Parts: sequence; structure tokens; C-alpha cells
Amino acid sequence: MGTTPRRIVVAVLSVLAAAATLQIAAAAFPEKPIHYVLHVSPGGATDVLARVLATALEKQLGQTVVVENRPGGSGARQMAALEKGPNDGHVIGAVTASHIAIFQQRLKEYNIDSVEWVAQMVVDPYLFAASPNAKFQSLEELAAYAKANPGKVKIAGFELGSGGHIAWEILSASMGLPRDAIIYVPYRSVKDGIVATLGGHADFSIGYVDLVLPYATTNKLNVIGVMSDKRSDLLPNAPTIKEAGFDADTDWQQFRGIIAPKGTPPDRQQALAEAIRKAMETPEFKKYVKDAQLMPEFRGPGAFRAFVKKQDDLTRDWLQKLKLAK
Amino acid sequence: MLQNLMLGFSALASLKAITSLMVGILLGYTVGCIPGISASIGIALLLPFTFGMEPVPALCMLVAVYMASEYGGAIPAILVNVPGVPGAAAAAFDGYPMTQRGEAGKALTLSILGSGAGSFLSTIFLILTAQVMADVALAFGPAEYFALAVLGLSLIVTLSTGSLLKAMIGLLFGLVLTAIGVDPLTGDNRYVVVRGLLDGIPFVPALIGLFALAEVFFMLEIANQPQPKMPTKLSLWSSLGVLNPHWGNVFRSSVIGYIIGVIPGAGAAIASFAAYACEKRLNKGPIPFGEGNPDGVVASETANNAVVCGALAPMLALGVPGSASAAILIGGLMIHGLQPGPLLFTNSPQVPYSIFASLLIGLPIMVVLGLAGARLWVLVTLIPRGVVATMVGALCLTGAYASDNDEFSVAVAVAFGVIGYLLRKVDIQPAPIVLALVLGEMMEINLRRGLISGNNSLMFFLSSPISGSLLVVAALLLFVSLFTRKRAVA
Repeated sequence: MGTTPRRIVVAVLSVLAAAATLQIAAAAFPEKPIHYVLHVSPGGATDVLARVLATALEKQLGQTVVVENRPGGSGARQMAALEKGPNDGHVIGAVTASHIAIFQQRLKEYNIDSVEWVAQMVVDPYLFAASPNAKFQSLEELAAYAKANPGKVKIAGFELGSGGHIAWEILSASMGLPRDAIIYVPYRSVKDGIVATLGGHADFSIGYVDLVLPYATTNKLNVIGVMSDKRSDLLPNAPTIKEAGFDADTDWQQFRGIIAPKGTPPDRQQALAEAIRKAMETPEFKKYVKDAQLMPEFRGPGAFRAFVKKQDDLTRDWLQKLKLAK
Repeated sequence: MLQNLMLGFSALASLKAITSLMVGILLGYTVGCIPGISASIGIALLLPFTFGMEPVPALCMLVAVYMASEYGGAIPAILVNVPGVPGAAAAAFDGYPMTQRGEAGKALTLSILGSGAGSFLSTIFLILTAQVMADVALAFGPAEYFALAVLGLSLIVTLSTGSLLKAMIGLLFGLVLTAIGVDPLTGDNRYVVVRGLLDGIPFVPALIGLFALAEVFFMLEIANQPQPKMPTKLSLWSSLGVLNPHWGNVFRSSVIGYIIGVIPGAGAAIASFAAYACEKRLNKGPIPFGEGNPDGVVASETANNAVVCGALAPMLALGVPGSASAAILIGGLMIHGLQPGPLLFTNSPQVPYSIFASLLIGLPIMVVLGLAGARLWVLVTLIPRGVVATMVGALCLTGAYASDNDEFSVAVAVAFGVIGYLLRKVDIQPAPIVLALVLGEMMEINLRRGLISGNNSLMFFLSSPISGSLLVVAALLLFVSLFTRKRAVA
């Protein structure tokens, strides 16, 4: 054996490769357009947010940010695009709380460690909105009515095991309601559930501030509880769940943020997060957030990962409790 | 209201607005003609380009694309039996036989005039009833949707030509296919053998395969046979009169299209099938439906364009989209900081009213462009079949890819092309399969949702007046048809 010419070549090449890598790391980032992969089709709230962010990010990064819609397969097509990479910071993806439940239920080959959690942008506290014709117009009345009339009250929400469903179960447990006191009717989206309540096909529904606000301000829906520590600025008359007298975990929230392929270097994640934080401070982004009634809440890589870990654990616990774990 | 409408017209009184309207119509035609790029996909593709525009021209352009693409789908349906959008499938039933008889010009003229008339009538309905219709949209809950899906499926007894048994086989095949994909309520995987099937069989590629690619295979098979008759030319003046015998049909189909458009989740495909079935029942003319009856083309095209205004009604009045395309238009509103919902008419009346105005201004433009186009498109019938088949085949595969940006969709289109070809060889038509693909999920999910809501009692579905009457109509349709068919055979 010994030192064959081949080994020398390999050694020289690896040194060169290492030097090249160092040079890339030192080079200005980003050096080419960034691809921003979405799991939704154009037109929805997540898509619109992504396009506003992309425009604001371009100014911070000095590179084009290309928004790519890869809807379908419950996010599988977006995950495949992220896996393809490259994981050098030039590929990022949109993420919402739904990804966590989907990793646990449908795309079981993935978990929260399959991607890097770069930045959280906005949170959406869950809320509960009752039809004005419902027999209860507050959470206390709901609890009392449901206990007296089990199986008579219907709540419309997103699919079984979704964030909204778990939010309802968290509240329901804190109210001390038996499992079959209220019927949970699953719909294709949170919005569909709200529409069902507007039409009188359910007594109340799960929602978010931005989805419910147009109906709350016109008295077509009555928000009876917001799942957060403080009241929403946009719905100042709607009590929080704690104010209504129930001790439910308000850390359970819908969120939207940015992920990157596994193995994206930490310094680049940091650079991206910093650019996103600055982009969120621009007047254009702030105006959008105000118009769209979103609640901005930035978290950088470390804090976002920790927040997601907690959501992941909560999801696992609840899916097991609800016997929906797969 | 008139004052607001004037406000709408004045918002459009700029070169920019009129230009975007024209661009929208031309893009819509193109989008509609290409199988695979349906109205909703066309709007979605165009949406990002409107972000930099003023809200009013942007929305008018998107609405124009929506309207024109629902018409454009009829062109390939009539000329080569390949519907460009799902809502044009019924236009091919009689449009293509007309082409084979040498009446391509007449069929195309009827389709554009029918589309124009349907759009105009439904725009008037929209202006007068948008707010009321929002309540109709809300009246549809699990029981009503289930009943609507059952009624839709029962149309098959009217729609099918030839053997009812074979139509039922097609229908059941389609229903079985809708079982594939993630369970819509519990998230369990059902027959997801490859990942592309997680969301079920992609609808547009399946449609391309069943209708378009299967037709391409047929064209290749008969490529050496003589071409259809040279189309007879219509003078522009006489072409304006061809719609005259069909006004009753236009009115009925507009009403059907408008109401079905209002109901979220029920779109152009269902509306055109329903209007077609209605006219077929009423038909007393000499030519049977399915063999080139002009009323079939008029019914389908009028209804699928009336759907557009129907879908806009709950979207503008309530923020609840009446169709997939309207859902994307909501994104177009949101990006401009406009909150779709019950306050839109109060807070920003210029938006809904300029959309109304743009429909009224855009319609004559759409009809003139369509009539001019019709004279040009008939020349397609002179191209040798082999060449047409190759071009259509290439467009189909591109369209299948564009519908999802995914190679898997191309594979689905090809697989369904082969299935469609083989089924037609044994005389099972694609229409029942497509009807099942359109309605299967609506039926399943609302049956299960209704059972959850109603404590597992089937009576829940008869408890509301709407669902009860829809189910009764469906049952009548089924029994009456079975009875009359039997008599016709005997």
C-alpha cells in the first residue's frame, strides 16, 4: 500500500475542495436569486404574505426572490423541492403550524428535524365565534348549555387532528366538558367552517382574527373567546379565554414562518433571519400586516426551533389523547 | 345603485383600464383554448402580474380572464372534440357532431353568442341580486350539498346516450376513483400507492386524458379517412341571427348557470351538464341531442358563462367564493388591501361596481373578438387529422404539466388517455366518469359530515327543505327516466 500517486491526488483534491468551500462561505451571500417554495397555490393568505415578503426581502438581500408555488400532496411536493435543495441558503420555504400535524399524521417520513427553522413572522391566535342565533353567547354559557344538552351543540372546524381541532380540545378539556358533549364537524378549511356557522349549519366555529373580523364587525358572528394572553387590538370587545374563566394553554397558536433545507449553514440561516426581520420593519410590510389583520411576532432560528419543538410535543400528546395518532 | 354603477363606469374610464380589459379577454381566450389550463389556473398564473397594478384595472383584468376562458374552452371542444376547460365538456356533445356535418362556423357562432348572452343576463342578475344570493350560498350545508351531488349524479340518466347500464358503469368507475387519496376527514391514506395520489387523482390531467388524449388516439386511428365537409361560410349579418330560435334556452340556461355558480363548490362543469340535461328533456326538435343539436351547444355555453357572475355574487357580497376561480380573485383583492366580506359594498363600492361595469363593457368586446375568431378558427377543420392530432397531443401534455407544475400529472393524463380510449372502444363514454369525478368528493364528504352533524341519522338529509326537495327531484328524475326508457325500448 503506502503512498500511491492516487492517494496524493485525492489528498490534494480534498485540500483544494476544502479551500473552495471556505471561499464560498466567505463569499457574499446571497450570490444568486433565492427560491422561495410554497406549499399552497396562488391567491390564499399564505401566498399573498409570501409575495409581500419576497418583495421586501429583495431590497434587503439585493437578489431576486422567486416565489414558487408547489401545492399538492399535503405539502409533499414542497418538501420534495426543499430536499432537492441546494442547502446553501438559496432555497427557503413557507411554513405554517399545519406542517407539524402533517409530519405526524401523513408525511411520516418527515419530522421537525427534517428542515431548518429560520424565522417566525406572524402568529394567529385561535378564537371561537358563535352564530348570533346560538343558545349561548359566552364561553360560560356554552359550558353550561353543553353540559345540560349533550350532543346538541355543533362546532365547525378544520380537519380532525388539525391545529384548530386541537385548540378546541384544549379549550374543551379546560371547560371540563365530556368528549361527546359537543359535536366537532370537520370542514376542508377553517374558512369553510366559518361559512358553515354563518349559514347556521353549526352553532359556533374556530377561526382566526383576519378570517372572522369582517363578520364580527357586522354582527354576523360573535367572538366568545380568543386563545391568547391579551385581547386582540382588532377585536377589543372579545374576551380572552382566561378572562372568561378557563385556564387553557395559550401557547398553542397558529404561526407562519420560513424554513430552509436541512443542513443550511447556521450563519446563512442567521443572515436570512436578519434580512427577514428588517424586511418586516419596512413600511410596505407593516401596511400589509395591518391591512391583512395579522399579528407580527418575529423569532430567529434558535427561538423559532424551541417554539416549534413545544408545538410538536403538544401535537403528539393531543393526537394520542384523541386517538388520532398514526 | 345607478349612482354606484356610474361610479363604476367612471373608474373604468381610462386607457389603462380598457387596455387591461382587452388584454384580459385575449389571455382568457388563449387560456380557455389550451386543455389543462382552466380558468382558475389561468387566473392563478396571471395573479402575480397584477400585484403592481391599480386595484380596479387589476381586478377587471382577472375577471375578464375568468369570463373569456370559460368561453374559450368551447373552441377546441367544437372543432376537435377536445374541451379546453371542464365546463366546455358538454359543448362537445353536439358541437363536434355539428363540425362533422360541416357546420363548424354555425356551432362556433352559437357558442360565442350563447356565451355573450349568458354573461349579459347573469351580469344583470348579479347587479340586481348579489346581496340576496349571498344568503343562498350560505343556505348550503352538509345536507344540501349531499342532495345537490346526488341530483347531479342522477343527471346521468338524461345525459347518457345509448346504454344506461354502460353509463352507470362509467359513473361507478368515476366514484371509485374519487376514493383514492387522503381521507378528507380523518387524514388516513386510501390507496395512496405513489405520493402524487395524496390529494387524490388530479382532476384536470384526468380530464385531459379521458377527453382530449383519447380523442387524439381516435384521430390518429382515422387519420387516413377523408376530412369532414368544408364548413359553410356564414355572413357576419346572418351569423347575428343564429341565436334567435334559442332565446328560451338562453334564459333557462342562464338561470341554471347563475344559481349553480352561486353555490360554493359547484362550478361550470356541473352547470353546463345540468343546463344541457334540462334542454335535452325539453327538446322537441328534429335532431336528437348528441347528434349535433344546436340547442346543446347553446345550453352548455350559456350556462358555463353564467356561472362566472354567479360565483362572483357571494364573493363580492360576503367574501365567500362561489368557485375555485373566485377564491383566487379574493387573493387579488387582499393583495390590494381590500377585505372581501360583507363590508366591501359599504366601504369600497367602487370595487364591486367597477367589476359590474367592466363586465358590461367587456362583453361586447368579447363577443366581437369571438365572432371574428370564429371565422378564423373554422379553418382548423381543413388541417389534416394527423397534424391536428399531433398538435393537440403536444398541447395536452404541456397543459397537463402546467396544471400542477408536475411530471406526475403528465403520467396521469397519459394513463387516463389510454383508459378513455379503451373504454370508448367498448362504448363507455367519458362524460359519466367526469361527472362522478366532479361530484364524488362533494357527495362523500358531505354524507359523512351530515352523519356526524345529525348523530348518524339519515333523516338529517331530509330535514331541510332544500335538501329534501333536491333529493325528491333526483328520485323522480331517476324513476321517470327508467320508465320512459323502458317504454322506448318496448
